[in-house]
Amino acid sequence: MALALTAAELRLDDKVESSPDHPGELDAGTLARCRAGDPQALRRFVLLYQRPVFAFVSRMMGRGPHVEDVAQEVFLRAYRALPQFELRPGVKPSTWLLTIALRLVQDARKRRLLQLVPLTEHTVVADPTTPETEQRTRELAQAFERAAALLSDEQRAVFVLAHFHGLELSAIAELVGVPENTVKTRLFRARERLRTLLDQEQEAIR
Amino acid sequence: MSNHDFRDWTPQEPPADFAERAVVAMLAAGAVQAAPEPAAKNVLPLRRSWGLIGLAAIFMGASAWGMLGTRQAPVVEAPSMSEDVAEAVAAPPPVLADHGARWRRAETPASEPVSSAQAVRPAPKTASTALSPTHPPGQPPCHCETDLAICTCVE
Repeated sequence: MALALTAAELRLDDKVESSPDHPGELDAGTLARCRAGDPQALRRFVLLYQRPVFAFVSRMMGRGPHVEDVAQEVFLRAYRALPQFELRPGVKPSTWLLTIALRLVQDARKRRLLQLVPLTEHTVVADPTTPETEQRTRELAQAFERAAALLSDEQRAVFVLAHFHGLELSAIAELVGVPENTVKTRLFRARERLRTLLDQEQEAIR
Repeated sequence: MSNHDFRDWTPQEPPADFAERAVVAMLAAGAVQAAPEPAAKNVLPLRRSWGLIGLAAIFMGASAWGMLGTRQAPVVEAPSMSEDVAEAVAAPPPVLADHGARWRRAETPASEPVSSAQAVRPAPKTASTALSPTHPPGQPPCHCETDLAICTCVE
């Protein structure tokens, strides 16, 4: 199974400067201006990371208006915690933001303020005028979301972080707070379960 | 088993004006504050547990200190009886001699162990030594039964 990173999630805004140590990440100068409350720097910060944050939260919680609320809370928490954050060679702002996002998703689940929304509810309905291939792609997307919704929270987080955010196993282990071997096990089981569920979905579609 | 492409799992896209609204919210949140996020994860439970540990340590320390203080307190000895007092106790005035003897005998039955204070005290003189002019010589003023609880005294 090929690692399928969503390129659009990781693309940079043209106006955003990239860190020399971490391509695709914000540079230290912009981060310093963010700490000082510079609106332009903050805007760059949000523009750079809003897509991965939205992608992670929506895949963890399902699509819906709550995704925007959680994403905004992620940036608020990050802004408050910026004085403690240091840009070091092994530390990426994107991983740090995903850590905040994961904590917020877990907190929301614990408080039961946000119930897991069935992923099929907000899936785009296929346009009958589109070609048959596109219709089939949309059906596959819906099937995928339904299958992913059946994963456990732990498996889902590990799978999303590994496949869509390109994190190494060690980084996921640190982010999730479990040993690396546990991450491997969860990832393996998530893949197997998804394959099985997707096969069943495809059979149902045929 | 088919090879599925996970890129079909399309995420939710941010609205066009999300960055602007987020920046406004961030600036409205006030000055940059120090917040334990996420490097200081689980700080709250950690603080809570440290607080409990501190309270427990204070309580145990106070208890141990109190117990130690009790053990090391100087032993207060009863003042030893002076000669005059010892004699007065042993030989009460003639008027009270009989009552005193009855009182002492009734208080300390033979079966009871003798207390340390009594052990130190000189043995009480027999009633014959506390002579009363009305008593016939050679006869003890009081006769006590073997259980020493009842005494009959001769006036």
